[in-house]
Amino acid sequence: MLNIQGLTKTYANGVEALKGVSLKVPKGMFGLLGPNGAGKSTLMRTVATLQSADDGTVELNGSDVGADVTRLRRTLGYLPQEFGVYPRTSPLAFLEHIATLKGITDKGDRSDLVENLLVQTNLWDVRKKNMTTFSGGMKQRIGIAQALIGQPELIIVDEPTAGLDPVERRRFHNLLASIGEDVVVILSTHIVEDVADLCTRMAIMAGGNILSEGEPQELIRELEGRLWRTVVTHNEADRVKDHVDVLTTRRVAGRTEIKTCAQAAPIGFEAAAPGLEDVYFATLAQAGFSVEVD
Amino acid sequence: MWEVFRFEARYLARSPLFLILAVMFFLLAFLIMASEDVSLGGLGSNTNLNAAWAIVYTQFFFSIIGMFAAIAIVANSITRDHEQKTAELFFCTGITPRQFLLGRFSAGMVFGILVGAAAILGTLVASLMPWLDAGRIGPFSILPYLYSLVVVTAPNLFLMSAIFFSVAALTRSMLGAFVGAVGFLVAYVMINSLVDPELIDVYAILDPFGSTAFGEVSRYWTVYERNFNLVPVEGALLTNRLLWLSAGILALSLTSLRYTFSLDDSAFKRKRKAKETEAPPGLKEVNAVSSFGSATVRAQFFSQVKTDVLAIVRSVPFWAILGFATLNVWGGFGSITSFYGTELLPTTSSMLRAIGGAYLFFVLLIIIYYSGEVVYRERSTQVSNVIDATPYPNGVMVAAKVVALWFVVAMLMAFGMLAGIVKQVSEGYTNIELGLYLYGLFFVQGGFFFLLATFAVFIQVMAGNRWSGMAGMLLAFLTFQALPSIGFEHGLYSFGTPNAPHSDMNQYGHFVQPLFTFTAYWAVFCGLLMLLTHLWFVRGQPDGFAERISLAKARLSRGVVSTGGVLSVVFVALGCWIFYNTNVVNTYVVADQVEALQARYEKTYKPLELSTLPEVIAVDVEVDLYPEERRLESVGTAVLWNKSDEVIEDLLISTHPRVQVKTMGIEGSSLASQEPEIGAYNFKFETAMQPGERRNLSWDLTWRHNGFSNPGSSLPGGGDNRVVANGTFVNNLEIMPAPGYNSGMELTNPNQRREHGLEPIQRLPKIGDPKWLNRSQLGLSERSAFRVVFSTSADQVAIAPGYQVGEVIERGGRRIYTYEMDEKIWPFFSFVSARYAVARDKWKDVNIEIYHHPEHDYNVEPMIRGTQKSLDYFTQAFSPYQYRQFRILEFPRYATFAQSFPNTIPFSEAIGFVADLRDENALDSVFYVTAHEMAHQWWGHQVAGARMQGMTVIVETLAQYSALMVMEKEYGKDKMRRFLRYELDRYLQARGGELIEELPLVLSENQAYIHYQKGSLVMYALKDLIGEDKINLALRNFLAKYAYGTGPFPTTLDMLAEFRRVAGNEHQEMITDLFEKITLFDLAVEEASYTEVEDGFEIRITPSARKLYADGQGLEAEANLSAHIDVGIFPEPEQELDDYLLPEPLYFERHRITSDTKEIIIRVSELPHKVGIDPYNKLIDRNPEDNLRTLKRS
Repeated sequence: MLNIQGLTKTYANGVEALKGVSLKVPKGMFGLLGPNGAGKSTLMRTVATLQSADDGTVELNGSDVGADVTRLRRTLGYLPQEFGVYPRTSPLAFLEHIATLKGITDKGDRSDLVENLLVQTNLWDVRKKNMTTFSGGMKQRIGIAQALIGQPELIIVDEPTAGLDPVERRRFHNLLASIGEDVVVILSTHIVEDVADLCTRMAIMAGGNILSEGEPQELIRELEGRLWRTVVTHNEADRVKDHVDVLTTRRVAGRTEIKTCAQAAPIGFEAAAPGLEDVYFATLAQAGFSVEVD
Repeated sequence: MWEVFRFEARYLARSPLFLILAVMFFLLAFLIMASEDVSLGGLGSNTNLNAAWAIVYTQFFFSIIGMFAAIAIVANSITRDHEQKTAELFFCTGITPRQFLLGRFSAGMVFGILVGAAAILGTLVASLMPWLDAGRIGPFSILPYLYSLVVVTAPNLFLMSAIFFSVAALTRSMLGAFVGAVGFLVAYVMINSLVDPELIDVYAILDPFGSTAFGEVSRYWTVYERNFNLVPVEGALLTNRLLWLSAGILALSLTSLRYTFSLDDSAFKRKRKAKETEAPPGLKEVNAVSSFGSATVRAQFFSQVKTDVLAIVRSVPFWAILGFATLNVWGGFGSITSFYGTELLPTTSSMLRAIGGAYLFFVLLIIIYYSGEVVYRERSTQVSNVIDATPYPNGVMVAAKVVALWFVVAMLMAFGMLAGIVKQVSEGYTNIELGLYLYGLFFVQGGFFFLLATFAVFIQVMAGNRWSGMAGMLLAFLTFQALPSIGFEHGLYSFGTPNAPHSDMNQYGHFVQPLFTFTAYWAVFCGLLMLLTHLWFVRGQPDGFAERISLAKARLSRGVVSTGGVLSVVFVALGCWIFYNTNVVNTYVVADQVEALQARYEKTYKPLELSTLPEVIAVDVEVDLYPEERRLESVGTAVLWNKSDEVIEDLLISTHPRVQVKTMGIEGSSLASQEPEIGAYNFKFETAMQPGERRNLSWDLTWRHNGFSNPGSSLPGGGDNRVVANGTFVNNLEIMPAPGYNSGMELTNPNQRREHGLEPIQRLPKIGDPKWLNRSQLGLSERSAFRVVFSTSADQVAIAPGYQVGEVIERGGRRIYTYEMDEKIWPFFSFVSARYAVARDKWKDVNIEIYHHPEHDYNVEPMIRGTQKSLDYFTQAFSPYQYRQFRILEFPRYATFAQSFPNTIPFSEAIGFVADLRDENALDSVFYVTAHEMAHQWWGHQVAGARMQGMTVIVETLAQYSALMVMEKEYGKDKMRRFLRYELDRYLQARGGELIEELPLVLSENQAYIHYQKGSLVMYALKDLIGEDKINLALRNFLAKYAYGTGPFPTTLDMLAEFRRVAGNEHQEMITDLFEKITLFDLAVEEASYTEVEDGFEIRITPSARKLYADGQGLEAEANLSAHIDVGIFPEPEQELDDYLLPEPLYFERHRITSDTKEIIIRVSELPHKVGIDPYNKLIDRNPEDNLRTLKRS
């Protein structure tokens, strides 16, 4: 279990990226949802030992990460938000190299492992190709393959599905889902479906703070009976907005769907069944972050 | 198009690329002119710093390297939109592809030319700097700068921009353009080095940069011409410029036809074969467990090294540089010639020298560029985001980076070695010394590169990004280069290892100890830098300085601290050891101090130069050499004789500054003052030395090398490599005291003299100066008796002039030789000792002995033959040989000359013993040098000139003539023609490099290009004019008058008088032109045609003939020509002939030709092919080629 306590980080340029983040992440898939600039990546990098926090501690299974970064690195699988590959290098060579760096010294074991990963990530056919020409999806698959090396106890995947097409994303979800349940997996994302599809627990983060935390179903349940919707014409929408605190607006077949969050239904609104996306927007709105699209 | 141009121009004006390039070019050009330490090859000599020729020449260089700047700018202009994926935006704005293309190109080209113009501006600004030597700055003129811009910079950069813009536009790739450019440059350099001199006219037109045309016209320019003339834009140069401008325009037109706005990656589509895919294997049962021990660290390290090395060796530029470097080495092998174009045998030692010279630049390039690549590879590709979170220890990454860079350097060395071996094998040379290759390349020459690579990694890590890192490396490199010029020369802070030349005889000898010490010293230093690098190496994404510091603190483990402690202690200890050697055991002096010392010596003692000196008339010395200790003891007595009719009150005795004087004294005198650091000892006679009186000068001196001295620091008088473990060669001026002022100590470089407040040097007294007529070239007038007891170690042979007396005594691990000369000789003695093999032969009853390094027996035969043939000729033509013995002694290649002592000739291993004479067409330079040195037994030893202008002509020019005659007898006239053509070329080229002023032959002030090269030409022309017999008669008369004389000594005018006496009246004017003026002939066949007449052919020749007299700076004035000049008619050769050779003439006569000669008509009976005026180039002519012309049928 990963235990984050009071993590703060202010960058040299004055940006406060983390304002005392505390979070307990149990084994299993954990979704960290938040808009761009929420501080997710800073948090992920700090946990992944690539950056140090100004204050606060990170503990994995009871041992302090800051005191011995190497110890964490030995049990870490990390897929950064942005990463590159060596130019003119094949997936095979790259994974072999990472596996070596991760301490898999037995040649036979190593090549078996790399082979397995290449098959699992569906990269077998291109294992000897130059990676520079790979698409975003293929690159992400290499990324996850390297993160899985070395039987990690903690896996961090930072914005893994951004920019992937639906097929690639589905494939990627399947890969993530195959990771054993005995491992702490943090999936940081701004895409609600990622969390909805995969995670047993989640937290919503914005402005350097954790806004809410819990099981997705539980969070949805909390919103039940407080979410209302109406569908109006475009002209009417402006009038409605004057009277109601709009949560989201959305175009539906030429008309505008407006959702709002309230204890009782405003006039002209009907009850709506909340989804995780509504939870996300409601949480952000509640914390004072503007989410309205129009 | 104008829109595109403006947009692009605005973009470029603000781009750092343009700014950086412009500043770089400006600075480099500025430094080349304004700093003594940054220079371009070919710009030495006495020409003004702002000579028109030098300005234009510099801009040729910049327009060639500027090619890369221009390409960077224009190729970037066309490919930027593709790389930044903004192409779509542009392609749908309604601009046509052609407008887009031309707009981008013209903006890019203008800025490319601006970069070139920055170099011109740099040169211009530098020429105005106040610290420049005012004596070498001519009046300012804007013309050469404009000329450079219009004729050189703009056309060349336009052409290169056009070609490589086209490549970039069509391939849509910067890399494509750059690879093309590197390939282009390689081809250019290759062709330049390979082009056949016969085809130079064609190449002058085809050379895309135009420098060949420029160079050909100005090849023989004198100082004056280089200062003030510009090559006229006409003929080949004009054709060349127009041709290549059109080529550029053509390339652009073709490109604009092919260029489209499609977003394909390339205009040349590639077809790819679909590969069969292999079915993926099933999943295996894997139990891949991580373990973390020392084995893991090793595996991590090697995996990282492998990754980095592969990334480099898979990159195109690496192979481009490697290929270029190897080609350059290969080209370098061709230039290891010894003498007159004779190549050296491809010994491993020669190969090493060639590789060293050709590699430096490329290794620097590789280190500077790839250090940035290697250090920042993970960051620039963002692999670091993955890698940095993996569990490798911090040290692994830094160590791997350094080793990867080492590997690259090692690969470069290995390729050099491979090229060397291929060269050796291809030449059929089989003594491949693999051990020497490895030791020489990877340690002696390459050791420093490994240190530099390490240093580069440090700089890169500290700099924070690769561009600053590269700039930092350049800055560091320039700093190390510049330090000596401001008096900081100590090896303790000049990052680098000392040079260590290899000699087959002495191996790396005494160079090994300082090399090891300094290498160790800097290696430890680099170790310390690596610890800092380890602390500062970025891992992860630390934010700000404070976090870097705290990370560094965290990495400062006990291991790091203790390693650092140990390394520091070792570093300091080695530093102390070096300091002890360079500053305590030896004296540390910088070049400027040495110059100041020499200047002081001249100022103090020059007034004594003309005071009355006693003569040395007998020398008896004991020389004990301890080669392995590099120590030599000299104990002896010289008898001084006051030959003059004046009393001598005091006497200056000079010694070599390196010797330690244990005791030295002259009978009846005491030491009044002394300055041992410049070897000056002033003796005051208690009772003056009366005319006719004799007194003994006795001494006990030591020459020793203790430890090692600072690399590059040398005492006045040098002598660093004279006493060595195997191959010692010293002379009496080095190991014995000599009476009088030592003019060899004077500074000769005019700039250095000015700096130290000395008047311009008078190289030699004016001819006929009565004060000097009684002093010979050596400064003395009497010959001396000579006896030496010369001991050396038991495995060496010690040789000095004279005949061996008694047997060699072997005692106490020493060999003791006694030599005695049974007649008086000039007091100029050599002392040589080495482990020798001896080849013996005879000429009549003269013993010939060649003492050589046992492996160097290649050319012993031509040496013996050269000696025999020379003795045949000289004894018959001149006078008897005065000794019963003749010996040649090989000495190490630290110096490259042969020198003639009485019956003894030390001969450098680099010029004769390893010359490659297997090519029968090549000149036999060994035979030639042997004959030349042999001739000095007459010219120099039998007769010496008075110490004044022309003195070296009597010695060297006559030796050249003598050797030429022996050579002609042995090898025939054709070989002579080639030899003389070589001399003509060298003479004409060397004139432009004159430091003070050129003088006519008889007034030569020890100017090598005059007394050797011009001397050969003049003597051969004279021989052709009046005949060999008459010259030899004149020389016999000359010898009869002056041989073994004791003063007054002859001058060149006395020699000339003998020539004039035997030559007819009709030749007197020509003799004046040849010997007493700087005469240049300009002969050419303007037109020539033939018609068939009854029983033969009539040939009409329109000649053009001028005679010019040049002054000392090369300013020419036309003179009245009226001379007998060869006219020859030649048939078509039956087979192809070598350079400069002609078939047997159909007609060959001397014609009287004047400036007014309009036509010459000649009849021959066979079909003529070519006609020539002075066809064999016996006269000095700056355009020797146009003397011949192929006949037309009219």
